[in-house]
Amino acid sequence: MDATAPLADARPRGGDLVLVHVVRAVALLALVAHLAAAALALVVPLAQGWIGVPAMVEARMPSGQGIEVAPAQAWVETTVTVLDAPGWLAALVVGAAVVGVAGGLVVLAGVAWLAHRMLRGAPFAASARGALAAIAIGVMLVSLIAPALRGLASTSAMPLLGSGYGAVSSLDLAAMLLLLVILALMVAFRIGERMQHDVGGLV
Amino acid sequence: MPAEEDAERVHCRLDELLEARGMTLTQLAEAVGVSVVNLSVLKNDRARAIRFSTLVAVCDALGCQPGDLLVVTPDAQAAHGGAG
Repeated sequence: MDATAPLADARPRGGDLVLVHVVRAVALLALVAHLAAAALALVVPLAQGWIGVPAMVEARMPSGQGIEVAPAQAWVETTVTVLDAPGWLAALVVGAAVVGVAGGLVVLAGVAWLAHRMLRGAPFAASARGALAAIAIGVMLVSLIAPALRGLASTSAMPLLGSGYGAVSSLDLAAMLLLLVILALMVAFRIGERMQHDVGGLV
Repeated sequence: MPAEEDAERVHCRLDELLEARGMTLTQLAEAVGVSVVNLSVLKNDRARAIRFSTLVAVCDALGCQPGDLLVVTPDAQAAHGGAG
């Protein structure tokens, strides 16, 4: 008997069943939407010969009228359209977008796969741990690698943009915490896999 | 650690005990509160472990001892001089 074979009794029931179905459906829909949006965001600018470079610009806050706003000036992130951008800059911007999209797809596919395993009544399997590892990598791509590439593109584009612009830099601490959670989940899944093996064939 | 294959040497005599008592698997399932699917797994020697609670319930229902229900078949390799 396969110790990781689906266990009829382990399938989610009631509210859990609805929740897992919703998670899987949302993950699959989001996957398709993510792919379509990313294709549009990448293909349209490239086809028209421009790229959107992330940059910080000064934003003037409304002041006066009895309202004190401090600071009166702040930096906000925006996307600056650059026509006929040099190849290296386009490569950085497109690379950041591709890495972000790939990471998002991996995360959504991983979540859908986990939900599928749960519906089969066998969430604890080597493939589920693999899905969690893929989700961790996807989160890293989306929240660490892609922003780093965007920051590099933004910094590199500063000489082209001139004064009045600042480079974008962001470090997502929440994503790092999420990575820790996923690593803890991987350990939990390894324990669950061992326990599922132990109860395989138990009557 | 015992080899996984050793579990396959445990033979469940549920079929013979049921037949001797004129009971069906469904009747036993109702009597002991264990699903027919699980009892079928036990009957067909596909179980790898049995809860004490299941064992006690089945033995009570059939009026037998664990040794009447489960027997260990001889190790084929050991019987042939432990080849391999």
